[in-house]
Amino acid sequence: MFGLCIRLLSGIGINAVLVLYPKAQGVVLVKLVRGFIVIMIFLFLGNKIAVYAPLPIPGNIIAMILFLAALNSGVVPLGTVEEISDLLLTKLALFFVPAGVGIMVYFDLLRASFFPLLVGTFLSTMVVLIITAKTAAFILSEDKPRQKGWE
Amino acid sequence: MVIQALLGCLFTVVVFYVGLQLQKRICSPLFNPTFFAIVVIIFFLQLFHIPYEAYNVGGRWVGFFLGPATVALAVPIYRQREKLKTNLFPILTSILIGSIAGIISGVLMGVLMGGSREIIFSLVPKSVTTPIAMEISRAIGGIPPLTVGIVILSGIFGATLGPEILVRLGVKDPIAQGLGIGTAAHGLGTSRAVQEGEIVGAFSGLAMGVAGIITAFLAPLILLLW
Repeated sequence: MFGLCIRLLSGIGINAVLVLYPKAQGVVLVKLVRGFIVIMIFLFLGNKIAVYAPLPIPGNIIAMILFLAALNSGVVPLGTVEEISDLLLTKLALFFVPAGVGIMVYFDLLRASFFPLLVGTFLSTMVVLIITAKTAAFILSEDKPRQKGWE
Repeated sequence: MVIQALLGCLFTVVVFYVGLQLQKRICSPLFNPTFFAIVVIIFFLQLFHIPYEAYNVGGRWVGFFLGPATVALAVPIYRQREKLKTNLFPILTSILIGSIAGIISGVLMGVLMGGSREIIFSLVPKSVTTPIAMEISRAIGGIPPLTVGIVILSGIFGATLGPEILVRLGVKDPIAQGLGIGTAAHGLGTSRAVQEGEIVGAFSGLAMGVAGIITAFLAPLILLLW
């Protein structure tokens, strides 16, 4: 049922892309569009669930966890979504540029606290770095045999 | 309207592409193409008195892909599932403790500098990968664009200084190094960690995803306490 829906939807999607770019044919495009639709279905589900969650947890995180569970249980084979995921992740740094530009709206609010923000961010980042690494190093040194498997 | 959207969209892509090319030339972790693009676009908009809303008609098209890209973050975690399973306890414990320390220290810094509630909440997801951090910031009532800036800063700090600081403090285990860098400095830290070694890189990438999930569940708890 799930597979059928994806086939139907991706058929529509691929035809739409082919109308726009007649040259862009081939297996890769079909896989990209199909993978994208699978991901969008999870995003839709995640956002739906987020509305009913007792805590304000972002819908895309819930979608990501559902997606991870689907990959792990084999409901979605990795092959279906591998290309589109890699494509989206290599372009990730581009996608949050417009959101970052939005900071210009808050310039007046932030002018006074620019330097404290810089220092605070630096200190807090170092705290996370050192505490996480020290904790991990401590647990791993208590547990030598397991660590050996990685050397 | 369509032309305006296309312009905003194209402009974003072109400036980012220029940033990428510059990064290849400069080869320094201090130069970040996203940061470059944000600064150049803001400068351009201010220069010609273009309001953010007008730019964002097209910018929204680019930003739309953040949602699916965040979902796609599950794929690299899935690929590392064997490493996650064999080291489940050290990974989860250290990232959980590190993330709590990050949230508490972020809030503390915000309070110390006398920031408003919005600014303090924007600092909470500071060490998490940007798409997740933005959504956490939005969900708990921070300022998402401010979070983007702070997250990139965290990444630059962690990527440039992280490995050296850990070595100086005597953390030699590559797994522990990777977990620390990935939890504190997300994707930017991970791109540096990969250069430090295969194990450091793999665990940094894994830590970045796991820390994102853990922080997404921890951060809203602040609303219960505040």
